[in-house]
Amino acid sequence: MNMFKNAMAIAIVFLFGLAGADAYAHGGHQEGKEEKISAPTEPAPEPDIYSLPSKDTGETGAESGLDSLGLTEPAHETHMDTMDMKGMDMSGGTHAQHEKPQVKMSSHEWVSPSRKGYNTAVGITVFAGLVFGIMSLKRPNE
Amino acid sequence: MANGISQLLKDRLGLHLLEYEIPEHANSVRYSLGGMTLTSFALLVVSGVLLAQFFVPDPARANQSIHYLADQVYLGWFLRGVHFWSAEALTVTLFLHMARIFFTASYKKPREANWLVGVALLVVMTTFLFTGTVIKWDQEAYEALEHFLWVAKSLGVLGLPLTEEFAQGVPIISRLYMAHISLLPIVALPLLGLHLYFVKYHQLSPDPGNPEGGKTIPFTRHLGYLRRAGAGVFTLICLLALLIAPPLGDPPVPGLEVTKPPWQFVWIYALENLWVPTLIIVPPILIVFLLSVPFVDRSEELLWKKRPLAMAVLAGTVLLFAGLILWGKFTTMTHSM
Repeated sequence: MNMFKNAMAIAIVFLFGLAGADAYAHGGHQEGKEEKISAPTEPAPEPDIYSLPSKDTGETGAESGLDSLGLTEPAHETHMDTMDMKGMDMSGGTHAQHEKPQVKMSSHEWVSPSRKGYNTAVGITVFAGLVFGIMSLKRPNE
Repeated sequence: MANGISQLLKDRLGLHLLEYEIPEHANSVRYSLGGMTLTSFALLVVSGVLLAQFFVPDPARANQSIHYLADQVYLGWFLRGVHFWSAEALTVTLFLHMARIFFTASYKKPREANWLVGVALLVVMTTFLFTGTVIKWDQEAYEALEHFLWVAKSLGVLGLPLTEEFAQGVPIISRLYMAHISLLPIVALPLLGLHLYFVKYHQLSPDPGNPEGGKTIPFTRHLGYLRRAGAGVFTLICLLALLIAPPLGDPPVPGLEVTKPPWQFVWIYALENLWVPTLIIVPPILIVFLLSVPFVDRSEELLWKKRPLAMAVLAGTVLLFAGLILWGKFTTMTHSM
């Protein structure tokens, strides 16, 4: 059983280490950052996602600017794909003639103390720890 | 007065029924991992209900709603952190609980059915994790969904209900959100109930080192231990939520494949890198392997020292997954969907 306890301890450290080391953490609240995230509001008028393609008009999800997952197709990329399809290697190579859309990769960040309610969260954590500590000392109902 | 209140509750709520005897080894970390998993799940449910007040399951607003929650809502970032780290804790304790069950041969007669229910719960929890990862709708979520849809479409008519074509015009993120907050809980809760019922019915599995049993304790003492273990798990989750923000990127850019899945799924990402069809082949093989365990290993032996083949399988599986996870974490992608 000691072997199992040791294996368990190693597994916990390994698994939580992996969990904490995930690369793409949220950018986090940065002090002095002026940009405010607004509440999700009604989007600008766009094709109704619940409407089915009309046979008369020939409208499709792609033509209406939305792909099947509800994402807006980058119009310039579609245009360039049409232009570049002839004679070009489309197997994942870069298109030198236009900028590829960039994905912002956030690095792992600690939570900033300037987060809204940080002190309350500290209080909750400390309280939870105190309760656990008292229960470990007193062992009620054990 | 405390005794009077206690007696009052017992008379009215039947709490005295909880005072049956169970083996003393129940009050140990290794035999409380299931309880810790249940604690994590309860935290996920509570934090999930609160998160649902702020989440908008629409592709155009899902990611923004989470950014708004994390950046503008008082304690919103902490709530999301509790939800995320509860899921991480659940993954760890669930894995350790399964490993302990295998190590102590607690899947053997007469507990085969409970093992099968446990495997079903594993599948449900994995699905919870996947849908929860996708609905945040950042680049990682988008690419995870692309892989999922590729598998669904490859399955033909069997995969049709999982594709966009099944409900045209309805964003698939909305359907995944429905699954995450309705369908999966409806499936999970009865399975959990059945799992606990079987533990009660068959009684706690014996300690292989002392199969004839030793001292016993009332179940209420085990509940006290579980409360303390749960408090410890909650403290750890709060601490992690306080310190480390869960990952959240910006809305996805379609057509790109630049991220890796969370560590719980990166093992299959590594396999996919070798051969793409492993996405379809490996999960069913794994499930069949797990379901077959109590029917393949039918010996009556419980002690790990006398089960070298089973221990080799356990160690091999753990090492294989650990290796695949590490390889997936550090390798570069060689294909695109």
